[in-house]
Amino acid sequence: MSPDEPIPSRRRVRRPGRTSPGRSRAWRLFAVLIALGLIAAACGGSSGDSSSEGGSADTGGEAEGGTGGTLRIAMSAGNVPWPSTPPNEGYEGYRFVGNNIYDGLTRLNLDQTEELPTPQPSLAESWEVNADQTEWTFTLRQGVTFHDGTPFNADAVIFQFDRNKTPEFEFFDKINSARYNATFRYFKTWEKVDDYTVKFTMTQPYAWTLYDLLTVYFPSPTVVRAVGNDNYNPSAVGTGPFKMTKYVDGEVMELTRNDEYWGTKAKLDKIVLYPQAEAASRLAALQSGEVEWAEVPSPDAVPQLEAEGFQVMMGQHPGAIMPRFNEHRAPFKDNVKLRQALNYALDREGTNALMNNVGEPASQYVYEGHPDYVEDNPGYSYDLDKAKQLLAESGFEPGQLNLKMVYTTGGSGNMFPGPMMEKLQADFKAIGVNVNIVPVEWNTLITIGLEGLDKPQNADIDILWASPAAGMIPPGYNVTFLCDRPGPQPNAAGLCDPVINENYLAAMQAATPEESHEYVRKMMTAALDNAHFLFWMQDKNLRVLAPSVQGYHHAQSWWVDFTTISVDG
Amino acid sequence: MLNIFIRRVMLSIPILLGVTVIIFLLMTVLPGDPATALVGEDATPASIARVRADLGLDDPLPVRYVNWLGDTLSGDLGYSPYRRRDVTDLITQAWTNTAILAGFSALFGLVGGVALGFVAGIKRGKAADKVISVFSLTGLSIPSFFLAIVMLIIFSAKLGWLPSSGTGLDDGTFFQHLIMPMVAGSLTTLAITTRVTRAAIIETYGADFVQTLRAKGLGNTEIFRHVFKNAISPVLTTSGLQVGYLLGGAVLIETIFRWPGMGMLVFNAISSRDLLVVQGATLVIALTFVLINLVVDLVQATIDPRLRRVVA
Repeated sequence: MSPDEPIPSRRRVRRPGRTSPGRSRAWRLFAVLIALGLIAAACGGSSGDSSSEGGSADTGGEAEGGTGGTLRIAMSAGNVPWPSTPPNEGYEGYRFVGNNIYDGLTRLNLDQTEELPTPQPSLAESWEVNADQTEWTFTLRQGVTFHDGTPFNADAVIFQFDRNKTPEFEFFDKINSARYNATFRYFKTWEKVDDYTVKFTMTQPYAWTLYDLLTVYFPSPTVVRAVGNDNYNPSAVGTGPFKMTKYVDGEVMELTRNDEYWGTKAKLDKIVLYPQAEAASRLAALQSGEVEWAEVPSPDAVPQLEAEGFQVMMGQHPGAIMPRFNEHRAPFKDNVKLRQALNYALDREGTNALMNNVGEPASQYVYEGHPDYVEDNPGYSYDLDKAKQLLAESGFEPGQLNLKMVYTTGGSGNMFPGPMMEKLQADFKAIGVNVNIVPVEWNTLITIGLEGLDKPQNADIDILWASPAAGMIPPGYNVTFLCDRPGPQPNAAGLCDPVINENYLAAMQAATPEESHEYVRKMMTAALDNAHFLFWMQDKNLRVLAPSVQGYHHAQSWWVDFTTISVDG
Repeated sequence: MLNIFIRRVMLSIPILLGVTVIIFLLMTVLPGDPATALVGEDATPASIARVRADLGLDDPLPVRYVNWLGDTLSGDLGYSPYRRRDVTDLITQAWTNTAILAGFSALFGLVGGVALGFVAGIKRGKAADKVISVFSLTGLSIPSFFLAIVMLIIFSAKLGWLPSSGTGLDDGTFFQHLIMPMVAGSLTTLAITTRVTRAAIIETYGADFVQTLRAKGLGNTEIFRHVFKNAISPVLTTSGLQVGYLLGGAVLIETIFRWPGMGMLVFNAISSRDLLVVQGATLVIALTFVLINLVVDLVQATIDPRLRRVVA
């Protein structure tokens, strides 16, 4: 089914929270609930039948005089993302909050599903770059104002760069500048040429400046000056298609359409964001009509949701599960055959079947169809004989290897680690490799990655779970593939392949995007041939929408264009 | 009575200090780094080091603890860089939400439990007693998170009768939002109170003084009044523990029903290594627990003069 295709609303449910009965009614209700509920459920009472009275899923749009309704979203984040620059809660924060409240100088074209989104003009109308790509000059869009009426101009750009790059600046933000480190790392100087022109000098020839600028969001300097960095979040003001009109930390955020937006105005009147870490709760909220959008439901619920007429969205997505071998030491250092053996031992189809096929077996680091996908390279099939043969050639007998693999129990973009890891353990056991699987929480896994597997506290880890935004934006390859990471960030798993390094550095300086992808494909070929990763599973970015949601595009990105979406009343 | 009060308050000080020391030590031995959690995976070692220094994480452990304790005693629980808010604000917001839920849960669990326990005790061995006993055993056996998810599926997802999450405090739908977390969260309290009350009633009705009262010719109502006063003491003891537990916030119930209380606050703070929030929230939870039990002790001493000597 095409994402644009309207789905007839076959299931209208009452939103319980909208009526306002008094206390007595509530208690009467409670008194009969348990008995009636169990009877009704036991009798197979159709949800459609029992819920059809009392109105439809309340989108609120018409009542508020708008045209596109209200979209209520159950996020998988544990809290409402910071409306800061940058937001927190991973890419969920960028998806729901950052890209809606703010604009960058560039913005991805997320209103299509056919190709990998690329940076387009946003607050910058146009740009010029010198021959060696060390100087980038941007012409800013005129007539843009922040939600508080402050004009957007070169001063606002310089203000945000100083806020993140100049420790002496009065409004330097220590915390956010550290969080923005990867984004700003190649910017050496920034200067105002005139009110609507800014020029950036890069630390080296750099082709991916437009990608880095996607997430350099611009807050209103007036607000930052008035409230300071520490108190900015409750007052967040940007130039984006939605304004923050309510923010209760830990509970809810409400975004209202910016009627003065310089670009295509959003159809939705409002977006309401609820943090709902528990998958069962998100599902219940969707099925009861309290939200129209639920992130990552349990895969077990997919058939039921489809049967009930919900829009189950999956597709090509630059997110994957690609565990990394510890190449700082034996047994994986300089042992290609062992790394290949384990890749051949992985039953990817079987793992995917365990998850109701909400993923796609990974033949490479990126999905087929991605510009960095290497044609005519099938990757690693499930071939136990070959795996056993390679294991023997790698110098190990069955039963001889006892590995330790650390994985996360949750966190954004990690699919379903529990069942996946149990399957992996069984797969490796089938060729005589024992794996001790060790669950850690997401924060611990990130810390291990930042410390590196060569540090004493992590040195006993042989394989580390990784869930990269594989191929979403080319600078994202940085921290995984390079021998010497900029920053300098540690080389977590010890991956240092001269062919990869050479091609990646060339891609960063390529003259055109096509040339850049060509270099990255050479890099990918080397990664694949030398089995530097456990090429395991592509995430199809499972998400469920109510039938009333229209105009959604399941873009090849972690982000979504909310301006095209509406909710039928 | 004043002596009892002063004594208990003095005793609670080392308890609270002990709790904070234990939590402080536990948080420092947890894997994962607070500065890394704050600035994310894109940060460089240098920027992480700057943030660590800024948060005071480079100071020796005793120094950090003493600094925190000094600030706390002066009424400042600190600032959460992870939430970019004062810890006091965060705790006040979360504690209020938890107190509302805990209050209704306690009312439901304790009043319901005492009522059922009395009926079961008075009707000992009869059908009502057996039904209530089965019910209370079942209540004790069902994990609250399991009941919560089953209720969600039935009453929210399938029937659409009750909202699945949130408090409803801001749109007048509080009671609809309250029902499921209250029932799921207080089932254990209800079951324990039922069993304790039943046992106390049975034991008290079997006491010699009840025979004496009957011999004196007192009516059932009068006898019940005497039995009630004697039987309520163990119920109050367990009630104190139960209310203290409820006020600590139930992580699973609050997470499942998105009830932004102390459980969720502490859980999120531990995940993000937000040390000051964990420290502050734990102290408040411990303080609440101590105060509730102090109140219970004082009430017990008021009801039962024999206990004044024991408590003192």
